[in-house]
Amino acid sequence: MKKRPKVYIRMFLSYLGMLCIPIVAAAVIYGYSSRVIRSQAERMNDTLLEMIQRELDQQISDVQKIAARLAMDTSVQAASKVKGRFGTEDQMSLYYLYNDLLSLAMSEDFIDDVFIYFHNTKTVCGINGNMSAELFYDLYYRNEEYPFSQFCQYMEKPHYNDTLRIARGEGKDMLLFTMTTLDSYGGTGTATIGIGIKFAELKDRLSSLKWDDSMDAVIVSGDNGQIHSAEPANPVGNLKFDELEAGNHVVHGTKGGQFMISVLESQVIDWKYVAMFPMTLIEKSAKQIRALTMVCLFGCGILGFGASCYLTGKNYNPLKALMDTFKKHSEGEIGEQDNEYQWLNTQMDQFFKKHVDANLVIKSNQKGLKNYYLLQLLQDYYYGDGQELDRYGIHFNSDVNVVVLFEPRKEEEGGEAALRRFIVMNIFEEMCQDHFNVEMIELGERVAAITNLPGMSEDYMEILKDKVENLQAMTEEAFQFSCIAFIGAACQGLEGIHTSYLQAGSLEEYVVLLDADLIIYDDVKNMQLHYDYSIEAEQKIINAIEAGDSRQAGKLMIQIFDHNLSGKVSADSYRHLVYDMVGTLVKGAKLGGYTSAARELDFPDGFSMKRLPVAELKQRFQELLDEICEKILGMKKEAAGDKTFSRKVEAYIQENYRDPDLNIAITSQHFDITPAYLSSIYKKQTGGSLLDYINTMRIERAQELLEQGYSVVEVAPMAGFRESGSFIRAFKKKTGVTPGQFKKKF
Amino acid sequence: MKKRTLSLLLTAAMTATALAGCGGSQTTTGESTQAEGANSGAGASTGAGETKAEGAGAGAAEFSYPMAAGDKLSYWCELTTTVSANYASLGDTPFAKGWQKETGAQIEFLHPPTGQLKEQFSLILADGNLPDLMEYNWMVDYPGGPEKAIKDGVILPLNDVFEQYCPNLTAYLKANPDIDKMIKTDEGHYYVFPFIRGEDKLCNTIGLMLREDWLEELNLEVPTTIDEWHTVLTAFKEKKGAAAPYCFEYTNAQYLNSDPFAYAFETNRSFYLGSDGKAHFGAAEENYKDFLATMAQWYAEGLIDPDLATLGNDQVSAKITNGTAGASMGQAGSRMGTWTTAARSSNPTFKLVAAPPPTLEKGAKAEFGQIENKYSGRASVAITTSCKDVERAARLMDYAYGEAGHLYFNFGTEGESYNMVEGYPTYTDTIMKNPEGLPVSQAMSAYIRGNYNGPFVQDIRYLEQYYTLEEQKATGGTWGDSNGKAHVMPPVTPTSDESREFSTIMNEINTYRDEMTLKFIFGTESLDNFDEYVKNIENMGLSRALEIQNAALERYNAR
Repeated sequence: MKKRPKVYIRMFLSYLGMLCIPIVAAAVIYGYSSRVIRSQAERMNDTLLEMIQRELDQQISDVQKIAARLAMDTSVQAASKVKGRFGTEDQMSLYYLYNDLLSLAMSEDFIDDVFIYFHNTKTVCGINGNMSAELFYDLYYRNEEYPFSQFCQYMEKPHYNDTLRIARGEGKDMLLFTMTTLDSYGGTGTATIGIGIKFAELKDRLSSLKWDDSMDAVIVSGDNGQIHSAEPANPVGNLKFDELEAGNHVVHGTKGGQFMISVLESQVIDWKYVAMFPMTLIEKSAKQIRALTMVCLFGCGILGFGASCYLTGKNYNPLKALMDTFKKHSEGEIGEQDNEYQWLNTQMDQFFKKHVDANLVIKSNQKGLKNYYLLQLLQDYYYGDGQELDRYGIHFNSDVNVVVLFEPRKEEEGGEAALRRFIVMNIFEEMCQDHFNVEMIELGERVAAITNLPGMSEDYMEILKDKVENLQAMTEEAFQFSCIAFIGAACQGLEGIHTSYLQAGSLEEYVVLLDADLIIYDDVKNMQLHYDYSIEAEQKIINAIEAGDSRQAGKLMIQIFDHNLSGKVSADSYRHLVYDMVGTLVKGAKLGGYTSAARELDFPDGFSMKRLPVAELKQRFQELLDEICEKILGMKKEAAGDKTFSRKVEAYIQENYRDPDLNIAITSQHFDITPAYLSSIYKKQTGGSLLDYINTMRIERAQELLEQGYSVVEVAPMAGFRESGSFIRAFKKKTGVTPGQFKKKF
Repeated sequence: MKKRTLSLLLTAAMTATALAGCGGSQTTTGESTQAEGANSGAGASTGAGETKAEGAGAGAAEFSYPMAAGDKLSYWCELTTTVSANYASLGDTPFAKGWQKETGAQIEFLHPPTGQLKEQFSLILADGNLPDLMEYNWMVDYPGGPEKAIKDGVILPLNDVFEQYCPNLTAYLKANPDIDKMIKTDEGHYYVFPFIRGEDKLCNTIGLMLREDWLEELNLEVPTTIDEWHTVLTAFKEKKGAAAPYCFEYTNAQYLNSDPFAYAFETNRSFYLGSDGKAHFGAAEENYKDFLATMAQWYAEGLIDPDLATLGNDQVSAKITNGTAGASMGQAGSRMGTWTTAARSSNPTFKLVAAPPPTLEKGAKAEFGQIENKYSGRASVAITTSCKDVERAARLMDYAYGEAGHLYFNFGTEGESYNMVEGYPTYTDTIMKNPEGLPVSQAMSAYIRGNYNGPFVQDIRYLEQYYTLEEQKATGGTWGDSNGKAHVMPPVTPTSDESREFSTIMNEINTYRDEMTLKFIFGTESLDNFDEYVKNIENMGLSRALEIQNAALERYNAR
């Protein structure tokens, strides 16, 4: 392999560096644990010694207490004063003493022998009975090294808590504590108390406290005597009482090896308790730990090296793959001073720069196209499948769309306006993005927002309305310009966009009408239904006009206006109402006989496109009414007559009813008045309709003829019907049955 | 004779099986279940078969040692010193191994530490986890007596057990109604497998002895009266320079209880059976005063060891063997034999001779003398309520009372520890001249229990061989030459309430008596005060104690 890439080497080295952690940890643990082992061994030694000290000191102080008690005992002192030999009089007190000693020895199992040596009588009183010192010595203390005379000498010397080793063989060696009685007058007494403790007992105590067979516990007494826990001599050689210092030491053994020695002084006797512990035992534990540590370290090393190789390879691979990819598309070689990351960085910078440039171009293209399609959607019904829209980033999540048009008021011209449109577009888009999907497009002075609602719900419309109002408030507050908004109706489908757009566009005129900045198509649409002008009201007005009562008619008319124009009213309904009202005026004029009113009066003028303030409108109407009524009243005076006229008309009709051509027009020609006026006068005088009278006349005649047996065909011309068909129709209308049916009844 | 009884019993048992097999067992009720009368052997056995018909009958017929393997039995007993010298447990001895092999039982031996028998016994009772079998002096040392032990639920009453599983012991008791009487409670319950001294000679264990070589030297006869003793002891003191002519183990209660010199005055420091058939407390009677007077006189004259009050075996042994003392008392084996052996190493002429129970008048037969009951209560085995396999335990124990078991317990294994020489079981050299150098007592203890005690019948033939010295062999006849048997208290059992009261009273009396006895002997208290002493004892409740003893005696006699 040729030269390794820099990063690869760095990675590998950092993994290897991690191996330092276990190595350091192992070293620390090893160092610490060997110290702990050692200090623990020391502590165990110390504890052991303290236990030995406490237990044995306790026992010894008990022994000393017993000895002291006996030394102070008055019966002992009394007996010690007897000289020569005990007489019979002393036997009882000696017997009591014997019993006392017996119970002492029984109560302390530590004690092997208790006796009192009386110097003056050379007698011993002990738990084995009272006897001469010689017999006592022979029986219990006979010893080659320590003849009787020496025993007596020792016993007769003053003692205070002294100890004497008594060798009796067979593990029955004994340690004898001696204490001379204290004379109550001061000075030493003449009896010596001896309390014997078996060596075996001491050894038992010592060895019972050992926690390892290889250790030893020793009692070293002031005269360098030693008591060992185990039979084999101690491995350190002779211990010198004076050379032993309290604490822990390391000492070389006689047979090699090192021993840890702990020394503790007894508090009640000149003894030193020594615990010995071979260092090899500690080292054995330490060695085990060291071996384990080394094995672990070696294992860690091998495993760590392997893991490092593997991980480096594995983690370097993605980088390598990247490098390869870039190398394929780039001619740049890695420079000497660069590492892979630096090189990649440069490469990627270049790549992304190119990529961003291309994106910008595409984006602006797409924006143009998108705007084009949006424009298409607005201005025409769209029936495509939406795929092409998708392509240019126009997405609608649902089928319900509303078009909102914004029109910043154009108080000033130029770039300001463009800025405002931009502001509106941005604000609205941002406001709505939480709720709706909005596409914005500029349309000349206006801004159109195609708002995609999640569903056909009033709630959404309310939200939308809120948003628009917020926008208006915001532009006014933040940017000091007002913005008119038109909201079309929510329409289904993409094609609905156009509908909604048209609706929104049609709302412009309401700005003036409602004096509002926000016009909602749905609100305005609903207004159209809300103008109320009933036939009865119209008839009342017509009647008033006909009667020439301009004041009454004006009053009624103002009532209508007030009723309908008091609330919101759409421009359309306003216009319609005005037309209706004009119609009413014309009708009333006609009925009043002023037939030429429409021609003579200039109605359309002033009513058409312009919205007139209501007061002015009412004024105009009142003037018109006054003009019309004046005319009618004049005409009325002319035509004022009675019912003679109607009778003349009826007579004329009775004569001429057989003529099928007879109608109101023919009749009016006969009387030289307009047919309408004729009908009006006739009706006024008779209360019935002239045409009705004619028809009634003809049907009654026909009924007579049919009763007389004439056929239907025959009757029709005779009753003034040009053909039988119209006769049958008219007959049925009047009577409810056909002439045939009528004839059959008879 | 014994063999005939056994075979008769077997026949009876088989008859019982046959009867039980016929299914007529329910009709044969009404007969006493207690074994009574010499002639009713077969009848009693049938009775036994009747109570637990199938089991007992079938068991008796089919049973033979060794038993089939079964649960291990735990056996608690004190380890005697002659065993503990060589073995940590009785189970390690050839005796115990052979015993288990012969009987087929497996035994786990448990021993209290030496000298702590009673303490350990109390501990075990308190703990409640009882061994199956416990060897103890149930009669004397169980607080409240054996009947209380049964009522306390500690041990089982053994009447049914004996009938069902113990043909050997039952047969023995039938043949020895006096012993049968001893080992029962007043209520008629058997409670132990007893240690029985097989013959009266085995009951005379303690007696006086003195230096025969000195007697010969001084030309004196073996003393038989108090006066003669006075003469002899004075001679020992004056002519032989004995500082303590008469020296004995005063701290040993057993010796004090059977002091031959007290017997000479027809008294005893404790209870004895008077000629009127009632219990008497010797230490409060006039005879005791006479005895004390003599002792005080002897002590004052220096005929008795001045250190008398505290004398133990060590001192006595030393003084006898080194010639400080010339007369003592004790057993033929552990004292006479031991002392002779020890002394002869330095003084080959040393010889002791047994002295007969002394009397006041020359030639009179001693009325009192040391003798133990054949059943003393000692070393007798009870089956505890913890025992799960009572039959197994009973069979194990019953073995010792049969012919084979009797030989085994007293002589061990034939060919190993004894040989039959003309019908006489003779100990081999393994016992008598132990190749490992063990003393005879220790060698015996390894193979037998005959030399100390245990649940079996002791055989005199052990003693005949155990005593190697002529003077030892003579002791039996010499010491037994009295009418002592008539005055020894039988093993009476006060009721548990009585025994508590009795021991409270007697503890006080005994302490006082012991102290006063010493004072009288030492002369620190004048014998003129003896009446006051007696009055004090009576004030301590002696009459009540006697009442209890007599009531118990009456119940005993009524057994």
